[in-house]
Amino acid sequence: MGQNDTYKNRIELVQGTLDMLILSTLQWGAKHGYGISQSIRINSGDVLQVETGSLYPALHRLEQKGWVRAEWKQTESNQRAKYYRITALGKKQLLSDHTRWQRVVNAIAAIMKTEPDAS
Amino acid sequence: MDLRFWSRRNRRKKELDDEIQAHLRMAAEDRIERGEDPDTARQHVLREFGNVALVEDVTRDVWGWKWLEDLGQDLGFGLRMLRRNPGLTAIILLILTLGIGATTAIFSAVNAVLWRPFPYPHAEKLVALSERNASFSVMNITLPNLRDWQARNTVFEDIEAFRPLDATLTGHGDPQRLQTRQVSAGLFPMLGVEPILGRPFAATDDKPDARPVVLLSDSFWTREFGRDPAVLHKQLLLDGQPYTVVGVVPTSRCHGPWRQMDVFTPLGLMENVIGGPSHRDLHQGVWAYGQLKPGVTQQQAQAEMSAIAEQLARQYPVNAGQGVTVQPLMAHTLKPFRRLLLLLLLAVGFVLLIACANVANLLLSLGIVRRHEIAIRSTLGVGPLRLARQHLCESILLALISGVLGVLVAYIGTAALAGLAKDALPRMEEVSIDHSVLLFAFVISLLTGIAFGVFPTLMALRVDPSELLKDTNHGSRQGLTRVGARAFLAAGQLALSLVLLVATGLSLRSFYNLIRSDLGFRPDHVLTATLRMAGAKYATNEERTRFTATLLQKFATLPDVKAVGAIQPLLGGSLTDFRVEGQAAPRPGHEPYLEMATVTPGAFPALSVKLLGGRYFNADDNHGAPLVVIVDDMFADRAWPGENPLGKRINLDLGSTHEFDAGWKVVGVVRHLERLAGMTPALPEAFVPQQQLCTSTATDLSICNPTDGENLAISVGGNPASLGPWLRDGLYSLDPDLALYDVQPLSEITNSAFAPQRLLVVLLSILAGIALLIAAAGTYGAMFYMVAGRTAEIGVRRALGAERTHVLRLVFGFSFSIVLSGLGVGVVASLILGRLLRPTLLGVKPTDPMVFASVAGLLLIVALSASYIPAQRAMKLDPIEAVRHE
Repeated sequence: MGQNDTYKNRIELVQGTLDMLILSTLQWGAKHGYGISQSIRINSGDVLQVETGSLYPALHRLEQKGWVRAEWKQTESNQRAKYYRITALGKKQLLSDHTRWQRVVNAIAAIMKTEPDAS
Repeated sequence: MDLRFWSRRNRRKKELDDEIQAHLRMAAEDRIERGEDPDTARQHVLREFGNVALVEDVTRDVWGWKWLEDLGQDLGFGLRMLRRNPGLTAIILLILTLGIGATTAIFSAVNAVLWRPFPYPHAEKLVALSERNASFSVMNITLPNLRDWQARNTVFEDIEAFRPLDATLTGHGDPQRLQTRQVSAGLFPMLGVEPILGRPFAATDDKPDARPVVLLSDSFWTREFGRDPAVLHKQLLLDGQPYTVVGVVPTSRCHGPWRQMDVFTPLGLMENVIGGPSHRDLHQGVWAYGQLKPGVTQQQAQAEMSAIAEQLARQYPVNAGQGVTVQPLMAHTLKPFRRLLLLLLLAVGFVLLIACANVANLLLSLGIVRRHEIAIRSTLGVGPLRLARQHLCESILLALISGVLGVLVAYIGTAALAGLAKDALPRMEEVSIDHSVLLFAFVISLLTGIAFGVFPTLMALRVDPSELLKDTNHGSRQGLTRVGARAFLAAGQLALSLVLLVATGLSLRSFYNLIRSDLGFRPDHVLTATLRMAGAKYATNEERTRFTATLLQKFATLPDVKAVGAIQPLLGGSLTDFRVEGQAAPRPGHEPYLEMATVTPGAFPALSVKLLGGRYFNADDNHGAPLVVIVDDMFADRAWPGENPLGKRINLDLGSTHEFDAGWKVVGVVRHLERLAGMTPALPEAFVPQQQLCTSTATDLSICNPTDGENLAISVGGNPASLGPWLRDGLYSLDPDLALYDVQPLSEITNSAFAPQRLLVVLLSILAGIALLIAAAGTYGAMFYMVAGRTAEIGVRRALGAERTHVLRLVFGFSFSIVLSGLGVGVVASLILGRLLRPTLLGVKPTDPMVFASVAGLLLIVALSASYIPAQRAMKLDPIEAVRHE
């Protein structure tokens, strides 16, 4: 498959992380699905690519959990699209996800520091 | 699910689709803005997005309830597939309908006989109580023992007794015998059966000196009184004594033999006759039911009753070795039919399994046709689990449709079965398709669907789409796997059929042995009748014996009559303790028993009993003459092995004195008489002249005053049935107040005694026939597709110069390998399962080589014939056509 090269440097996201990234992206305002995937791709410098097969199930799951709310709105280019907005519950979830994430990152970083710096 | 649910769901689906379309549009716009031309942009976007349908699918998964929707979709898909292959679908439905229908019909019979509770409010708490000793686990109870059980137990709400004892009704048309049970006053209340007219027995009726009263059964009330309520307070003359009618009992709401009863009288009236301390070891045909107290189990009741029996045995020496059996009422009544019914259920289960294997095979052939469709669907992103589920859905759909049709077949089947089995099995009038049968049919259909669906489903999962789409060669690896699976299924059908056929063959041989077996007498051309001598005129043994002799003399003068005699009892015998003179007394508790019968001199000639040595009785063996006895060969062989029994003496235990009387001299030895209603295993027999046994000293011997009448046997030259009216006229000319009943040819009695065995043979034959048919079709199918699957190969071989005979060998070689492996497995399974049949077999071992050989031969012929057409086809293949064949 020719697409494989394009994807080579991208990282697959584990599910919990994807939820966190989506919620994080929505902190700065409501976005539609495409917007969210673009936002994650651009903000990660093209490293993180969200598969649509993961994104949409994740969005619907978050909506069911009450962490985001969806509504249909006009886009800037005057198209109808489904916008997702983070809820108060979602913000709380994001905070706790983020805290846990930070702990994991710190812990991993602490372990990695004991190795000689390869870069 | 209500409609709102579906409409909301449809809206959501539309919304999801809109959402994704918007995504695609926006992505495309972005690319166009960056300078890509619209077409390329759209292509890129689609590629980037991936499989739209799959994304929607997995997203919908999040919503829940998706499985339900998928199920609907799969069912719809299944229906479409079935509609596309109507011929195959029809065959599958036919086979499954037969299988499920037959299974459901047999189950409904088993359910009605063995499992449906008796129609009493506390049916689950009712038990049957009986006495037991070392030789017999179920014996009737002596009244003194019963009274002690009632007084000492703490586990029963109530123990109530009854005693079957027929009565003769006079003064109401012709004298007739009434099927009567003497019952204790509390019996019907304990069963929860209340009179539909009048009152039940009161405690005051249930006493020796009470005014005699009688309860009628509803059927007797209908038959004799047209359900006239004015029957109350009328008097019925039973055995010459007036009984006042106090009520009518709905016996149609009772179980088993209770339904056939005509009238009931209080058991307590007999207390002085059969009760009291002197009767503690005299079994007078009293039986008892008990109702357990709440929370008491049958095991607890059994434990306490056994303890009570031990107390009684210590207290009364005659009770030594006597125990108590407590059985659930249903088990007590229905135990003899368990094995037969469960065997039939097993057999029909085999037919259903064969049907499953067959249908699995047919679905596999459908699967070949559908390989491409499967491959396409799986490349389109339908996951393997979903594919598997679609296959299973289809199978289950087929099975459920067949289940519905099967229930319809079962409606017809149960009616036919109930008719066929009414002589062989009890409760046949209760057989019906009720909730539990419907539930069974549903479950069995579901399981069937899964069972035959599993194979094709597994095969579908193994399809490799890329290989399949590239290559359509039927000789590919999957093709061969399918041939293998098919061969396996065909062999399985043959194995299962072999087991069924072996069971049928064994039962047939056994039944042949049974009907051809030496009964010890010849039932043809013999008319039997039962005579009840009741009332004051026949109070003593002498009076009865004298009247019997007079009546027999009268019968002997009737036209066409060759010999007449009385034998008591005709079927079964009176269980009697005995000693052989000159031999040591047996260990206590291990006394041997024999079955004793009294006969008049004409009885053995009338029955054509085979005399092996000595002589028959004659008119000189009467009261006052030396006591003589005729024994059967079984007795002679056991008592005096290798010696001449003639002239030897035995002592018989004849009643309440419990002493062995003076010796009876053996004057004759006859072939063992098959007693049909006797003990199992058969006991040795002894016959004594009625005139010698039934004298004034033997007043309490029930064999001399039979409660159910005296059995007469009359042998005639022509058709015995035509003699019936003459007998009645002859009797009424001597005494118009006596009843003669059960007038029927002896062959009818022997035939109905074989009814259970006949039923087993008939049903097994039907089932085995169905199995053979299905298995033959299955083998044909397997061979047909084997040839179809290897058409190209055969073509190449032919093109390379292979002879036709070579091709024939190829096909038949394959066929042989299927048949032989099927038969091999079947033989092993039959050898293992044959043990289940052993108790029902007579004169044939479960491993009978003749049956095995002929069944295997039959299956071999059937299977090879089924391969003939496919082999012909293979032989006639044009090599060029075959190689091109795709």
